[in-house]
Amino acid sequence: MSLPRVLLIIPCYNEQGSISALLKEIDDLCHDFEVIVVDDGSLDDTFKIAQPLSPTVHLLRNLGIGGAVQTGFKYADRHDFDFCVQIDGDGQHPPGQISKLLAAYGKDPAEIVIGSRFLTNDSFRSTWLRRFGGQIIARTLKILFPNCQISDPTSGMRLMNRRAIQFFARQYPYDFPEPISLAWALRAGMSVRDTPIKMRARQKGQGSIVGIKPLAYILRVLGYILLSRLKRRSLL
Amino acid sequence: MYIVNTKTYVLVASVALVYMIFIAIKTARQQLDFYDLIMLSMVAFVPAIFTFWPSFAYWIADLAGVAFPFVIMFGALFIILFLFVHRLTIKIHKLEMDNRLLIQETGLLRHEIESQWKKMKHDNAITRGTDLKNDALHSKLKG
Repeated sequence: MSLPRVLLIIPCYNEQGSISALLKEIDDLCHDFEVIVVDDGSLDDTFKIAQPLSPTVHLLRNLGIGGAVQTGFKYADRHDFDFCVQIDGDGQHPPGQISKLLAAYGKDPAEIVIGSRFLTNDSFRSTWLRRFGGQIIARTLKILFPNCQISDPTSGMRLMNRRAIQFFARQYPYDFPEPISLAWALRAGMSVRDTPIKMRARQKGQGSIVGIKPLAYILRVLGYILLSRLKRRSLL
Repeated sequence: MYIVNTKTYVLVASVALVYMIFIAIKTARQQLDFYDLIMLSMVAFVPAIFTFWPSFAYWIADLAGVAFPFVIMFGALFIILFLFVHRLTIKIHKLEMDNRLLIQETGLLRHEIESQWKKMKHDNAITRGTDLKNDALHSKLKG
């Protein structure tokens, strides 16, 4: 029996400071992962740096994280990957933690396995406002989808199996996609689990959700989650 | 009831006619579609109807419970504008989706072409290397 093929999707936008170190770190892992970097129309030299190091898809315009990640799903779908793991290009997600996601899937298979920062106390945590927002979103998901017991719905480090890959290749939210995509997947009858992982602080650059944006983030995400409950399953 | 004079008839009819000709030409040149023509033509028709049939305007105002017919006229125009904006929003959203899809597909296609090109170059280099080896062996045997 052949080994399952795993694709690492690395969406990045203006990550010239961290992308080469991340790709080197993945290379050092000695796993049979394949990698696709999706350069989301970066204005800096991200594409030039990433292209010689890894297969890289360059998007002509910035589509936002959702558009970049969905490009990766389309690639995974068309090349028949069994699993894909999404990790950020800013170096927050240590590639060494990918094996934990795969192990969690092996132990208790689910369509989506999320790497959670909040199941243990030794991982990097973001600002209190973001953590608070994450808690509200997690509780809302729990209310609307009682089978969903996840602690970190905003985590961008997650493993998806073939069914989830095919589903997200067809439809994926644009902005703030992590929690909204979970609601869509749950509505479509998929299962979601989480497993503890360790994350790091951003290596370089600044995150996109700063200032009062977390509030807009929470409102928008909650709205979409509520709407997803109203969506007919046949449309998903 | 207010009596509309001839000047008002001429003014409103002229404005309506000029505007209708303007948007009809735009539609003929395919700068607007027919649905847009219908919606925008209401900007000419609604004031014209209220001017040429003021009794109708008063009847509608009475029905709606407002004192002045022009309130109804602006209300009607506002609803038409809202429908127009609603339609445009859906159209823009669809265009945004198409644009997003095109950008993704262009990126994936470019990557696919570059990968195939690299593979072809690599295969050619191997074939060329084998050919060169064969040539060297051949000339050695000949020599």
